[in-house]
Amino acid sequence: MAKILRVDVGAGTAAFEEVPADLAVLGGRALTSTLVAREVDPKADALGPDNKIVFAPGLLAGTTAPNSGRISVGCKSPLTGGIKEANSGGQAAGRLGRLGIAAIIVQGDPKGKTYVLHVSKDGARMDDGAPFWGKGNYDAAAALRAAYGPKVATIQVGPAGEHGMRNSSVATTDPEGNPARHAGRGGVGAVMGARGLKAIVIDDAGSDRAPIKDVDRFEKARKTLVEGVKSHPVTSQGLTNFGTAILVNIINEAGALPTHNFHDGRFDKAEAISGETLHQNCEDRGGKRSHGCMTGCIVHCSNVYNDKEGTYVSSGVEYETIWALGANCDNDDIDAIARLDYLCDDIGVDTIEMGGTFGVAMDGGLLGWGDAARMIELMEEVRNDTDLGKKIGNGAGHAGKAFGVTHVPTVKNQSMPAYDPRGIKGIGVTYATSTMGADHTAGYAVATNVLGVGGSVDPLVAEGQCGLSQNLQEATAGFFDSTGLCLFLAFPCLDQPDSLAAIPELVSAKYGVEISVADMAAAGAKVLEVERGFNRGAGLTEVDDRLPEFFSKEPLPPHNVVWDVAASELDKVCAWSPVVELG
Amino acid sequence: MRVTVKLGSILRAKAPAFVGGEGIVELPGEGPFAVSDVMAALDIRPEEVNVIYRNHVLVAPVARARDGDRVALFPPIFIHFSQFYLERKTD
Repeated sequence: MAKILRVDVGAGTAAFEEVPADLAVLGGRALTSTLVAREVDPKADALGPDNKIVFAPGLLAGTTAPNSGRISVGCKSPLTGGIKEANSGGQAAGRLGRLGIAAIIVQGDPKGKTYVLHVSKDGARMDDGAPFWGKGNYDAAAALRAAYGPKVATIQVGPAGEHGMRNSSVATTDPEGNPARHAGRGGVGAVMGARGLKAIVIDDAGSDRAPIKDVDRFEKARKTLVEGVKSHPVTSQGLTNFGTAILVNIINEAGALPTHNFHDGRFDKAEAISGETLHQNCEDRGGKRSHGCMTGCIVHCSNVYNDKEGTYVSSGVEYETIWALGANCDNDDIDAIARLDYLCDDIGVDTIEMGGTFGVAMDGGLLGWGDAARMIELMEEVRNDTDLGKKIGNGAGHAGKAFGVTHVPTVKNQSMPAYDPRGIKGIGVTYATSTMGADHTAGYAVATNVLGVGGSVDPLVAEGQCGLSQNLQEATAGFFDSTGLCLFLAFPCLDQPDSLAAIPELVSAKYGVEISVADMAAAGAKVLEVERGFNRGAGLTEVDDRLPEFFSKEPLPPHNVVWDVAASELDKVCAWSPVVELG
Repeated sequence: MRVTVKLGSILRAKAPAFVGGEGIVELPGEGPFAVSDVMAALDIRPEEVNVIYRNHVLVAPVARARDGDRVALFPPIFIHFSQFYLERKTD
């Protein structure tokens, strides 16, 4: 029977409790959002003592289901002011699943103390965090392995989270022990840091795989899903060989690659930072062009990037990072981008938000366009929490105010990712209406708009985008964010009915329940309902479900289109209604 | 007729002389020609391409390319046909 681990940093205690019956078949985002909505006052100060941070593996964590090791991190976001679920790959979720831990809730006022939480099959304990506090994520991960054993997985915050930066992330370690996977968005690292928690060390030695109620049924569904993933060209060839960076040239040719802080839709130096260039550099320099971020991954979209001397630089140099620190900043130096990726991982900040911040700062004259060397220098200001570091470590919205820039591409104060909403309007609807702020993974309309997966609408017109986004947001929440399955399984699942049906089959077999595709879609809609209720309680309204005005006024080259999806249509997606009462 | 062609990932093997997957394809006469004729000039079969941009607009292989156009071709490894049709301009 899975349990919840409740950690009170004020009392210095860590105790297990039963999972409430109504939460027994919730995992990942469904569980974090439900717990946050139940236990956190939406009007609480996100960095104050009454906010909580919840870590939850997905429903299939610790099993042999492919790509089932995503972990969700939930709280009230210090960046958006609303509810947040950020998720990450890495080793942590699978280990927690094997230990039978459904969620870890961290609460209380640490009163200046710092901790490391250690969990194993023998229980949980709070250790002194002082030996590790202040270290970058890479040094901290090495020190934690030295202290607790070479095979532990860790969840940790870097200096940015320790300093309470609203752009700070929560890092998890990959199979090589590198803290290169991040629950990046929304400042979740600051909430973990505010709890005085430097790291969670997960030692699953001696534990078994997560129990399965119906092993034969599970195995049949698992094989179906594996066959679907391995037969789909995106998940078996494209992502495997070129990673997500393959999107650079595709989105650039679509005229929707945000360039120069969303002033343009094409980057004339895109080839220099493309997936094809990254692939070649990995091949030439002894890196890995194909790499899995978690045990059980069969897609291997990640990479290990080396410098010209063949020395490790970073891992997981992928599309969003390359775009944010590259095209958005007029930076065509992929080696510098990889170095910046390492620094973001080490300091513990979200690369999308950091790139958005740099774009705004460049518009404001803090540094020149494409000045990669200065970008690297400025990262140390964030690490050291200087006055300048505070201006650029708290997100693009904060930087806009600091540098007098109004051309700030955020929704709910969270930076937009690597698709211009004027060129791909479906993703614009998701940016506007997601409970998470500008978030591309919440309803990945790009797949249908551009890549022709699971149907199509015209990316340049408003018609059809709202229904598309709403359906994808519900599906994402229900099928992927709550099961812990990697979102890239959506490519085969959107195209292959058998693959989609395998997901509720896996859950049904594991838990001994009967859940259908329709049930999971409904569960996804319920998660969004809970989140919208929290956001309403936090004071967010339909006014927050809008894109910045400049998108409606400034035509985007080369298509010269503006954002023109009507506010009334956006409000239908959110179905603004009285606050949902949670029983 | 001369068009600029951008090839994505594995399609670059069709034109190793291109730099960064980009180069000029020349067809006899003034054109216009179908995009499929541009593909044929590089020995690219229809099943090897699933996304075509002509001057940054998504088009079908029958769409016309004119002198000076830019045509970008991407293989199916990052997209896939589904039971739904893909909207593409055909003119």
